[in-house]
Amino acid sequence: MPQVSMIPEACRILAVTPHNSRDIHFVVEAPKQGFTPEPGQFVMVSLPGIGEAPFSLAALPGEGTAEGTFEMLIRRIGRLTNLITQLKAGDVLYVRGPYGRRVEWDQFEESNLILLAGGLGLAPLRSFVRRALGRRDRFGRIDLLVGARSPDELLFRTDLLVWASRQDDVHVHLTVDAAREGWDGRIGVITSLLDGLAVDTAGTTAFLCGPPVMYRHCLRRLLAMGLYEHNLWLTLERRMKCGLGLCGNCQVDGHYLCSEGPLVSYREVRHLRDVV
Amino acid sequence: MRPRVAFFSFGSCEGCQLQVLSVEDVLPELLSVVEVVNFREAMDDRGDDYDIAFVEGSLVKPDDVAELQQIRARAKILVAIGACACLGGVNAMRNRRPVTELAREVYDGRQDGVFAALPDASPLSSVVQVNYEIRGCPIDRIEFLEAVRSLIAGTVPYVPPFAVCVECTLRGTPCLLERGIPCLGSVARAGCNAVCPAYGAPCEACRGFHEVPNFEALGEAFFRHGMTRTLAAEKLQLFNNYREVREAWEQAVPSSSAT
Amino acid sequence: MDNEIYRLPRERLDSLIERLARDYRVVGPVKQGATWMWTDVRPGMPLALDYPTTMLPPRQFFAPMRETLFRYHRGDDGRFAFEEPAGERPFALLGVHGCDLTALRVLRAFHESSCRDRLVPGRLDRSFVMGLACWTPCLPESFCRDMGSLESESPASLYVWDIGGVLLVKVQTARGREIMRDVGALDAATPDELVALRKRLRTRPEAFPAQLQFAPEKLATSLKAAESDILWEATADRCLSCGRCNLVCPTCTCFDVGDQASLSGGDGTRTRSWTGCQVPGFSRVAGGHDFRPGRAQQLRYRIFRKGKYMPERYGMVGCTGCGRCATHCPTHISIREIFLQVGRAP
Ligand SMILES: Cc1cc2nc3c(=O)[nH]c(=O)nc-3n(C[C@H](O)[C@H](O)[C@H](O)COP(=O)(O)OP(=O)(O)OC[C@H]3O[C@@H](n4cnc5c(N)ncnc54)[C@H](O)[C@@H]3O)c2cc1C
Ligand code: SF4
Ligand code: SF4
Ligand code: FES
Repeated sequence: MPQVSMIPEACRILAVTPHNSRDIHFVVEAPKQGFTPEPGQFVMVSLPGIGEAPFSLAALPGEGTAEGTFEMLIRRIGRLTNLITQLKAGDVLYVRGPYGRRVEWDQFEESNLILLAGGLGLAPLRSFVRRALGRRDRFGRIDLLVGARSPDELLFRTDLLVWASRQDDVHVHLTVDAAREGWDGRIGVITSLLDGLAVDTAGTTAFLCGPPVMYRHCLRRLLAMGLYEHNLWLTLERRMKCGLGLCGNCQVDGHYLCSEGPLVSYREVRHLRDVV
Repeated sequence: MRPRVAFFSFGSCEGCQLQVLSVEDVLPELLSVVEVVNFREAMDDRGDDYDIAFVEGSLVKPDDVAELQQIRARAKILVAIGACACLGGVNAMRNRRPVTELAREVYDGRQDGVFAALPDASPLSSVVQVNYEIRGCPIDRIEFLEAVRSLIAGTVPYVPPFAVCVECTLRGTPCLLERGIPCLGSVARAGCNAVCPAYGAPCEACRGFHEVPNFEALGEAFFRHGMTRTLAAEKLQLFNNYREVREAWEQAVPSSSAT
Repeated sequence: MDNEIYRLPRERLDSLIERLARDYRVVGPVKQGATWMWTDVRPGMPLALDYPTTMLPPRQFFAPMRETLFRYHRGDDGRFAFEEPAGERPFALLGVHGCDLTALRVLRAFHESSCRDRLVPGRLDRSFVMGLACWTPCLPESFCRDMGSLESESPASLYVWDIGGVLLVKVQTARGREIMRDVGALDAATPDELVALRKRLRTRPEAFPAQLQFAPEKLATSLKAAESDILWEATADRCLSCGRCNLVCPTCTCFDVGDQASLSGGDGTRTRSWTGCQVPGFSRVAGGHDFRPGRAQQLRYRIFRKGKYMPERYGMVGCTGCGRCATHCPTHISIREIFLQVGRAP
């Protein structure tokens, strides 16, 4: 295993767009050396004096965002994110990575794709969608299923609109748990979006990312629909303090999710305890 | 602009304010990042216009309530400092018996100079919303400075979720229980760097409890080290006797019928 | 080199310390109050060759309890610059028992598998270790013989048997031989001494009564069968979540990371410090969800990691039988008893 320093690199914020009062979208200069992430990988981002935390890549360099940059969607939720979400273009974040397992995309070619994103889970899955759309001819049908608590909490609305307008390329399905007036879309949990979906069970790969409660329900439905365990991919969140397989916070039954995940197939982890 | 901070004191020994003053080596730096507008221990001027109020002491007199409410109304952020303000602390030891009875006993029936007291000595949070707590008797100066730093940076102070034992072990302090000394560290919240056990004095849980205290097991730990479970209850009363705090352990640790 | 066993007269230990001090920071077990601690030793200090296991394990020298990862300083351009601390003097550890030698091998295996840390492997490479044979169990909770670590003699450049009178030292590396040569201790052990040693070793097991009724390699399968929660719940009722079992364990490796800074935030350090799976907050993410909630699940996790996940991943059981966790647990939760129960379970 190549050894890595935990010293981060100063990376300038290039653009900041709030998606709502607590979810902020950042375009950031990428670290200079060897920053060639795959979908599903993540970076460790810090502010010296405050702390460090893992964040997913909402866009990879050169895939819908400029070469030499990447994107993140960061939710204000605690000590570090309170401050990151106050930063402006021109401010600096301290970044190291990418970390996490590199999952080869060749294996998904020819496959139909279902992407299930609950809430913030759309952040990592956005780079999956962009990867797939960037090589559109190599995949079958693509369905993007997005669930949010309320219409206000729907993230990446511009992307959703753009994708929705490309019906031949991707089918976008939205649902919210609770709506306000003016919402004429679907109301219900994300699994309900699977209801009308006709799938070729053997030739379909699903990617899931969302809050902890989402996984069990979605998995049950997808398996009942006949999808294969090795075709169900989950990105799993755990507490992560190093990204190097050292700190142990990210362990599930001895597996270090920062390096053997966070993207894993259900087949690989189904026998592990407390995994979903 | 430097945030304006004010310090206030209710029923307490004012030791926490002294802790703040004892940060001499960083006082100039502290004053370069905040403007102190009210600090009875240290200055005569009084300002009523402040962003952050640090409040020590528990509520013990009828007047205290209105005074605290006024501070709350003026401060953007209210920080309780010390065991008295956060937990009721030692003041709450008196809550088990009626004030009149105690006054009779302590002052031998004399009335002169005895001020009116609230039935219960209570922590600030019993009356107003407290934004943050800096615990300890007295507060730890490093923890205080770290909290100030977080607040002026615009975020929440870090509070360790774990037991004093973690810090104690990492200091290499041999466990006091193993010497039959009644230490509460295993249920107490860390953040003090286990200073008492390091000097051979048992932890009294002056910072309250960590996130998942197991009081039955504390009694068991005392028992296994040749002490009574009742002793655990007696020890817990020192700082953690305020009604709601006490409820956390009362059922789990048997107290002798006398108390 | 296997048969290179030399005599080291006890009084020459001082010259050994002196010689090592030229290249290393020399540490050995020293009694502090009621407990033994790894402490700096100098010539003239009596080196304990009969100590009963230190409270904190030797891993503290390879992965310090609190370690500065880097310092930072805000420059005139407002950006932080980072600086790693200078490398420290390598350590020489004197008098490491078989259990702790085994733990160093576990640490090595962990770092050679999936871990990308930069600091620990170098320290493992640069340090000097002198092992020490045990003749009696250190603690009532020790079960090193059952875990196969009593006989463990590596990794150590020198390995010492105290057979009364003279010390017999086995040289196991070129570095060890060099040190022995420098202190002028290359007289081979006499045939009588070797006979005495062999006899001692033959009878040693009698002093270490068997505690488990099965081989440690069986643990993984026994644990798999012990998924029942009742076992874990019954024992976890006594657990305080104090974390001492993790912190005193010689094979635990988990860390927390945190920042410290000056008031203005312009200067500071990022440090890592020991934590563990029994410490509240360890498996909790922002927003409050805990992926391994409750003491029973956490206790189960610790035992499974030692007895199943570690052997599966690193080829070595994660428990050396040193007895520290049970001894220093406020309610004496004993991993030996748990293994025993698990092994007994149908
Ligand atoms: C692989 C991965 C990808 C993620 N992607 C995103 C993303 O794209 N957008 C987003 O907003 N959030 C993401 N998160 C969650 C994000 O890491 C947490 O929101 C963040 O740690 C909160 O830090 P805080 O200091 O603001 O919160 P606090 O609750 O104050 O955290 C306190 C401490 O706990 C640690 N901590 C708390 N939660 C986590 C956690 N989930 N993982 C690691 N450490 C934690 C932090 O390091 C911090 O030091 C991701 C988490 C993981 C594991
Ligand atoms: S002395 Fe007290 S704080 Fe320290 S380990 Fe023992 S019980 Fe815990
Ligand atoms: S030392 Fe004992 S009480 Fe403390 S966390 Fe470990 S098992 Fe629980
Ligand atoms: S994040 Fe540290 S080991 Fe996975």
